[in-house]
Amino acid sequence: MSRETTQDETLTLSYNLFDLPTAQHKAGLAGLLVMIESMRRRGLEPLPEIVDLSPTGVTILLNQDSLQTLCDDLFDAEIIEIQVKSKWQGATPKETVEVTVEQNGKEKQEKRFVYDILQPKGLFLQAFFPDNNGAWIELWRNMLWNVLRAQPATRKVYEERSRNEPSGGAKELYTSLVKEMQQGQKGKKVTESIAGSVFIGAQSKNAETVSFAGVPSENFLLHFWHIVSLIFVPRAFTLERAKDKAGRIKWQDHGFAIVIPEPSHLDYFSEDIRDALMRLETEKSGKRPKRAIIDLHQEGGLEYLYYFTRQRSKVIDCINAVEIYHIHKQGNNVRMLAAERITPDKRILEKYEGVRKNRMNPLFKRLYLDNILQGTPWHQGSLDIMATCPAELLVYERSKTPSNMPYFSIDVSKRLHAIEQELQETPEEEMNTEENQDNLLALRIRGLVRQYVQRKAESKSGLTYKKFTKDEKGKTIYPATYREAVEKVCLDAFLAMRGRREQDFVEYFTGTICSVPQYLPEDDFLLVSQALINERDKVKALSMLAVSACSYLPVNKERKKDNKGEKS
Amino acid sequence: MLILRLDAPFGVFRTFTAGSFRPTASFITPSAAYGLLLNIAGIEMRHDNGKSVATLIRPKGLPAVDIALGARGALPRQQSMFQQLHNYPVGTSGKEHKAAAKGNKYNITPTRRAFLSEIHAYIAVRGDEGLEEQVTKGLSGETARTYGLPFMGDNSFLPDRLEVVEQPEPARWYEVVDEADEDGVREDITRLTVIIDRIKMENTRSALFAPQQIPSAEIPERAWVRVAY
Repeated sequence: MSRETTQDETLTLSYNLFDLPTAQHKAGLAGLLVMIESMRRRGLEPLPEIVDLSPTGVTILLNQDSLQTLCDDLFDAEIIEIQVKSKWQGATPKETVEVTVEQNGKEKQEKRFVYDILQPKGLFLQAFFPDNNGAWIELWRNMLWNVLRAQPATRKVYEERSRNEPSGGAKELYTSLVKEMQQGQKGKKVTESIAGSVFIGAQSKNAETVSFAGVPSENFLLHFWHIVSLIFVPRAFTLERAKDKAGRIKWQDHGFAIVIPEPSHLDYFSEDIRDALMRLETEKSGKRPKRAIIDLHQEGGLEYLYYFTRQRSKVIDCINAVEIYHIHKQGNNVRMLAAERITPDKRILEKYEGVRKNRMNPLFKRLYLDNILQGTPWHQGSLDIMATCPAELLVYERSKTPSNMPYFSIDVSKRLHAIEQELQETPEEEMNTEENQDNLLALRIRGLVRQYVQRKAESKSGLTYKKFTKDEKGKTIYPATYREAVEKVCLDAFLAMRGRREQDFVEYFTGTICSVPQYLPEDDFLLVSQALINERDKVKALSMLAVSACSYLPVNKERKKDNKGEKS
Repeated sequence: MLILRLDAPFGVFRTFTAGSFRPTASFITPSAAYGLLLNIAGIEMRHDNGKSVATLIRPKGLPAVDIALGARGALPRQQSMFQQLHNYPVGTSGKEHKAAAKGNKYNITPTRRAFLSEIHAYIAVRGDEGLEEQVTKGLSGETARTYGLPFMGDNSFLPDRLEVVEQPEPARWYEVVDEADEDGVREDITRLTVIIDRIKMENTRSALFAPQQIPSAEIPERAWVRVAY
């Protein structure tokens, strides 16, 4: 709730965190505090005055001058010159220049078209970002121009600042706030429409033609939520197949995932977010911050929360949840593709910490993270991936699997290995839990599939696994003919399983996978056979994952030269 | 006090929203539970002022009650699907269909709609014995119905089971979260709307709730929230 009174033209805005209607408002209140701190550090004045900051509320005193300083900094912008390779449709370049570029070790001349563009400065963020005017601020600018201010008409506030004019927004805001105060004294409520340029998901009206509206003192906060939010870039990929050689993965940005926090403790949060912004990792991948590139939008929320687990003994005590909005500009329309809310859960964040350490296959990462978030078994939903993705992305084939993406097979194999280690450390009395039985089933099926693949590959290649030598680290050295046989056996088994359903699959499993000598203790035999009767889809999913895991054989150092393009 | 057991395979409790993605709250909201109770009791809460496109809420005469919500077993899961959304278009696109639609929504746009699955809840209500009696009668078919079937936020999502229970099983009651917690944040905190204004978004009020971590047969005092129009 907000309340305003005037004392010598000073407005008093009092906010209670738990009275604000949305996460965007709450993040806006925190963003305003961070903004004022940023301005203080840069020596700007006059500043709005923060009084009575408590865990759940704050009172802010501002007058026309301090509001002007605030808006001038918020909308500060400049005109900069950029050079681009292609002409922009409907825009005349100010000049054309020749530049020298290096390609494959040779220098050559290329034409560049020079344009002036309007660019928000974002100095209030640069004050915290470790790379100042680097990739993180560029990403923020991209989001601003493609999401919040995608319509050119909404950029006027920046245009006037680029001409060094005082922000006209300050006067409008001040007038609204004074009007709210004056009408409030008469017992009347003032509302104003909420613009899509400040509130994610707002349009002039909803499907029932009801306007998006709020009271001015709450709408005011919506100008600041992006300061404490983080922007991520979900990427999508396409497989470009090539004749007689492995295909390549082409990556494409797929809009923005905007992560907006819902603070629960205002003073802790304001402190922790400044620290988080200052400790953002600055390594780049192309022009983007490496850590901003994600494979599913929920990953952005987990990454945001991860920065907070580094504070105060790994306990997140200042955020109730984060809201994630996946937004993509399609033509002139800005579409919301998904909206999600993630609450800080220590168990989930611990698992995520493990995920972020390694570069993972995006398909496996999506599967794994989605299941972590849902609290479901790690393999749930894998049949959808198995049924719809090209086989070479799931089963390793040296001649076809793209090498510019981590292999799905390796990640499945690592997961099964991790399960094996977990189960070895699990006390006997805890083995009967649903999760442990599920994990045990996964291992037993992997064992059956591995035995089948090994025997079949031996038969195809004429080589015996037991006779393979080992390197100095004790790792098996696999001959090329054996590798090829394994890949062929795995692909055949994978396709055979993919094309079979229900009883057909059971018959394939028992008639083919179990056609080679298999050793199973009685308990394990019962576990697998009962699953084949009661949970056929689960057995199918685990079998296909096991085939995937078996398809990739680790490469030894001395063999790498002969296996160019493979990864160990 | 009256406690209802509610089981529904699907349900949706929309926040005020526009655009191509339609979110849902993560549990039945007090405002939706209130609407469901009035539906069962046969109390008309709709109001047509002849001016607004949206149906309004009756300005006077609605019962003021306390409502508490509890989750039995696992919390509902959120799913989403693509669907053709009927709406009133922004701008003039499709205006040629307006007359033929006779006041109905005359535009169709593809959207992604979130919904909940596996809803197992208790709705507890207190503070108006008259309403409690009307709900009981409504459930036993003793009240003339003016509404259609009770539904879960979307008229294609119907409850499987709706009945009065004397003593609820232990459930995770949703408690109001209205202060900063020094010991870390509660798990599964969510925002649920308490009262809604169909025409003035700014009058809609919501609050943060968190389900108890340990199920309880007793309804904690912090789970009760006032719903009054």
